Amino acid sequence: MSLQVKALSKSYGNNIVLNQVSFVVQPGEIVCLRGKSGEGKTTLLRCLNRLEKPDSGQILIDEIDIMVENKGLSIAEKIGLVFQNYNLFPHKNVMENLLLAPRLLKQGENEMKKRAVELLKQLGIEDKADQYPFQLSGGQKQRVAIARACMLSPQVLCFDEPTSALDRESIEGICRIMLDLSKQGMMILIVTHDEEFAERIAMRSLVLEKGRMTEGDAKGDDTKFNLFVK
Amino acid sequence: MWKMLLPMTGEGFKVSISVFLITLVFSLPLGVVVAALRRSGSRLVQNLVAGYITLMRGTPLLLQLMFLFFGFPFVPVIGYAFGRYEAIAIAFVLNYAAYFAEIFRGGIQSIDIGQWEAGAVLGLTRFQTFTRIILPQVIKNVWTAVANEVITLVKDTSLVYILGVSDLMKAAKSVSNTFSSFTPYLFIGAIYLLIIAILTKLLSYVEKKMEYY
Ligand SMILES: Nc1ncnc2c1ncn2[C@@H]1O[C@H](COP(=O)(O)OP(=O)(O)O)[C@@H](O)[C@H]1O
Ligand SMILES: [Mg+2]
Repeated sequence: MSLQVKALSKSYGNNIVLNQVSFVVQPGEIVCLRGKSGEGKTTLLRCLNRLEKPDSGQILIDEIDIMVENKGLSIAEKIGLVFQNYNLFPHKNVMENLLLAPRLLKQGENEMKKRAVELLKQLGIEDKADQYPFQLSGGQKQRVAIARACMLSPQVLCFDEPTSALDRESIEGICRIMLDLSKQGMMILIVTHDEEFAERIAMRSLVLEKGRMTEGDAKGDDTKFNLFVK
Repeated sequence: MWKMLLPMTGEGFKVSISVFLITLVFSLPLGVVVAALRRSGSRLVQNLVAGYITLMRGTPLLLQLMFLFFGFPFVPVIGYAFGRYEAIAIAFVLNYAAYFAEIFRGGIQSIDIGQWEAGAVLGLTRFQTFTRIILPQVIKNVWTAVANEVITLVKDTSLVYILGVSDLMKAAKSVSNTFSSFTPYLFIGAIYLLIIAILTKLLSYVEKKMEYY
């Protein structure tokens, strides 16, 4: 069980944003994807979450190409995304934000509700279930977005610039949450240009530059990394 | 005079309200569909829809009514003689759907693209995203504009007199002619006013209900 990206390419007109990008993320790994602004980090996440169609390449989860194969588990149950601006549904309260997709995907209502309550508790916002997004702080909104993405139990969870709108305290909180999720075996791919945060959370770093992906300096100690590999 | 006016007003009221309700019930959903079609992938569909909207908004509703009833039977190949009420229903629904479609189109465009993307990432189909996420927000955004059209519709129903249908206007006209009095017109004027006052209250009540976020 792993995420494998193979020779992924994406251009907008003459602008080659991703040029044969390849990398692997293992279960329980937290990988930071770094790079200057405009280097294509968001584009890569969008391709992984099929918001953008790559020109070529493969994205494999569990050896299954998510761009071709769509049997069994739907792709949303394999990979999820926490948007930079969260994109919560403003007309739905927190609980409804979490339950909307599972309901439409016809999953068991009671089971889903239990899972939602559990997730909110894990993320420390169980008291916000009946609130609407406009009533929440930035950090709380982000947690709702994480909970919403986790409702479908994806194996990979992607974050786009998760610290860009957070204060110090909330960053501490989000670190704990990410570690928690990775302990449960989730693969976490974080796009960030926050060096300090990356240093703290990443078991491994990837750097995107001029459309090419390179392995970053080994940040953090390998023992931390090994702990989480099953 | 009142012995004649009151029952005729009652009958006229039924006709006017029927035109109003039928138009709303069919033109609102049709407006949503037309707005969605305008964003469709096909150039041909887009152009057809744009043409329809231009035609409906570019010519008077009165003329459209007259064309459907008096003119359409003589159109080659597709010509067909509609009954009065059929012609009225078709003209009103098509006309109002065009206005509603334009309002909805603006409303759909005003929704952050991120809402569509959030739906897609969660595995929803485009249709599910539209009906569950986009449309409810659009309805709130366009409520005032739609409410204005609804109020206008109440008054536009008086245009059906041109096809000799006994609506409120026609009732007033008959009684006025018989008794050489303008009072019947003032009377139905008051009725229109009352209908619109009630509607306005109702519409703003629902608007307040939607203010929860
Ligand atoms: N929809 C688009 N159409 C055209 N160009 C785009 C589009 N999205 C992104 N780009 C371009 O792709 C490049 C990478 O953008 P992005 O992935 O947002 O970078 P990053 O997230 O690393 O800052 C930029 O040069 C940007 O202008
Ligand atoms: Mg970006």
